[in-house]
Amino acid sequence: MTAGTAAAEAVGTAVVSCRDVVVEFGAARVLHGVSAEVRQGRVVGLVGESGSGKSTLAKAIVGMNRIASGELWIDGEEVSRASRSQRHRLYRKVQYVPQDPYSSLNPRRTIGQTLAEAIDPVGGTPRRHTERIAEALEAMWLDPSDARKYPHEFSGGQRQRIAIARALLVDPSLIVADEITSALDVSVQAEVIRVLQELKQDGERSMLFITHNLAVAQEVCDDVVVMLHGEIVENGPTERVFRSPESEYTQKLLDSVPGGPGFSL
Amino acid sequence: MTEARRPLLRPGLLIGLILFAVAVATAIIAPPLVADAANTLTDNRHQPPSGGSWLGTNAFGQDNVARVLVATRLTLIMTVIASAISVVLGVVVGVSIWLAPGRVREWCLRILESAVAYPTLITALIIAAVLLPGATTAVIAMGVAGIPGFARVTANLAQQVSNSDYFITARFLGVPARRLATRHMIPAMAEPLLILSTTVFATTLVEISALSFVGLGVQVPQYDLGSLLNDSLDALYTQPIEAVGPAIMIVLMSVAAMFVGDGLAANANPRAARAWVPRRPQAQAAAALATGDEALVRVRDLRVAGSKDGERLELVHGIDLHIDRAEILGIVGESGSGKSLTAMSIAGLAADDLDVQGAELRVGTMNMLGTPAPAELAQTISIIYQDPGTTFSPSLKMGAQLTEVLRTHMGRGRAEARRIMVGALASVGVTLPEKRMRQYPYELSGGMRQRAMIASAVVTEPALMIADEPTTALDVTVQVDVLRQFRRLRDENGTAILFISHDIGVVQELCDRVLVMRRGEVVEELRPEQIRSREVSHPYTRSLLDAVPVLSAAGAAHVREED
Repeated sequence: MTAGTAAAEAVGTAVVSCRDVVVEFGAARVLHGVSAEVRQGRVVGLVGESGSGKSTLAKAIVGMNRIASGELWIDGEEVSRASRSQRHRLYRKVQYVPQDPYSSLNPRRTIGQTLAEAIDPVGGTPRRHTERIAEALEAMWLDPSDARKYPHEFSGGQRQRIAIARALLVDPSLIVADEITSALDVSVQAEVIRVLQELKQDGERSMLFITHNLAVAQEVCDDVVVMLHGEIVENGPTERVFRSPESEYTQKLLDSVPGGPGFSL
Repeated sequence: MTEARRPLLRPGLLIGLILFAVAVATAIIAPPLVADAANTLTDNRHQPPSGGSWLGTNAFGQDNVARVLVATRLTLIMTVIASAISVVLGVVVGVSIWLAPGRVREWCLRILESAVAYPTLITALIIAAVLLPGATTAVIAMGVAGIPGFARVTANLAQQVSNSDYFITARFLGVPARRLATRHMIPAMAEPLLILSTTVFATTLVEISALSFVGLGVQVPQYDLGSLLNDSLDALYTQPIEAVGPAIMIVLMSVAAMFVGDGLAANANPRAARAWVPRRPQAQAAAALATGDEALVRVRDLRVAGSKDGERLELVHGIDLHIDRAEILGIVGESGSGKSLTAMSIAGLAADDLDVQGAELRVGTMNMLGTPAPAELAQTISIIYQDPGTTFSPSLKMGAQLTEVLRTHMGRGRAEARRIMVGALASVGVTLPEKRMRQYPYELSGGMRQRAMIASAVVTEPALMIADEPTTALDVTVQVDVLRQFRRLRDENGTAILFISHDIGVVQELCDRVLVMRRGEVVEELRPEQIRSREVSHPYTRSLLDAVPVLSAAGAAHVREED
């Protein structure tokens, strides 16, 4: 890389991009120099099996895993070169939605309190942000009056939508959704998928959608990144990857989906 | 509604609270009423117990009962303040440690652990010896000595909270540390901390009395229960009754605190306090075989009920099903559909607090509503669970666990059982079977463990295998292979399989017949072809099929058409 400006230009409209990102847990290297990007308005699926490093990469992007080497660009700024306070601001632009809808909301706080905290982490109260909270809930097909309820009064799918609403309230450049449909029953999963598709319609939200379920990835994502053993083996538009995969491993994955066209016992 | 049914005051909690109220009332009322009898010097020294003074008088002619009642106030005040110091500062230290940066936290935790290793009473003795003896000293000494223990417990709880998704999310949203502590961390720990505080109160009470007892606490002319015990030492041989009063009071108050703590804990976790009522199985072990019934498994009107708040709650509402020999029957449904309850009832493994009834529940010749002979049960049915990570004991080698059924129920010797097992492992695609037998479960991958589980089921040549979501925890590429093993088991050994899954794709590929369950009822029975071509009649099945995204690969589909 010649200069910072050249790098910024190369990133272009990418909201988040990784260059040769390496993540190590102690002596074990779990990501071997991964490069990928999410462009403005795209939903990128990160698929792979357990141990592929997809979740590790997602957590590295939101700052939960330390990046040993490589670059992480968020909105045209490189994170490791940013000062402590800048870094904090950058990480607020990538919002993480965790897998388990039952542990992602504080059971002792109302939905309104939880959402107000996302708007203003220091002094946010439901009363001060009534309108924005109501808007956020309605966008996720929930009722504004739900703000007064506690998490246990909602189903898994509803909680997951509340968690998405919380992420959206921060107005992030990228939402990182880590297996958010995996713990749900199929009918509930369908409801979350429909919400995501609606969210995609305006073409403004960028999302990194981590999943092991290829059918869900096909339904939701514009682009797909396939990972295996801490490396990217395939990367391209969803339609192309599912129609004519370049990697043997991707083909094997596709053929392993029960009920899919390539499956046989 | 349901909350109101839970008794708010369990007997233990009630007893504790009453005892505690009595102690507090004593501390408030007694001193003004009986101070004269307790403090005035008289000539009635060392009087034995009498109607006027139940525990006699001491060396100065003061009434022992009155002195105990008066001393209760000081002991109670000291204990409350000392416990408050331990608890409040303990919480502050414990929470701050978890909010500190990683390296600082590690150092603080190590220091804290060293402090905990040092007995509190000795710490308190040292502090009390350094400062001038007195009531304030005793309170400070005990309060400070109790901080590390409480801080350690708080840090443990804080660690759990700090690993929860909502806490991590709040932290990354930029919520300041102090708010993280007050909004997310402390409320989540409040309940266990409150319960632990009662324990702290009880131990502090005993130890603060001990300080006074050895003369480092309350000094004359003041007196608390500990110093009363000390006073009674002088006359222990002539007037032993003098020691009884303070002793009883100390025990009563600490028991009260313990009862309150236990009661709170039971309220916090009603399951732990639940009485266990074993199910009473029906008498006859052998099933009455209806003539002409060729099916391996016959279930008629199976009803499974649990109880909620003392009321019967039916979870499975009269299911009929049968499984033929060498047939793979799938049950598909969402959570709460009763599919696992049905399967476990057929295996005779429904939880003890569930009530299983039915017109018929037969596997082979066994009546599963009764208590079939263990050996027959072990050889007829084998079960494969969802999570290959928890089906094996982590402390035993695979070999010992896999050969257990062969050795205990089928009378095989050690070496022979091993030989059979190695063959079985190889047959289900476990690589290096001999080595696997010597490994511990954690050394195998999930797929390998699930294959080993199937292998252990194969060797007993069961007539029926019940598999409850056996591939749900596996990766798709591993799942294909494990599903193939199920198919092969049926084809080669003629094993009938009851396959429970939430994945319509999987049951459609594997099963001969599929039951769709919803809310404890079978809504539809389908052939796999019907699922594939979507010829389903029940609206629920249709909505279920519509909900599942199906992989469509235009390219791959073309290839199949050309075939």
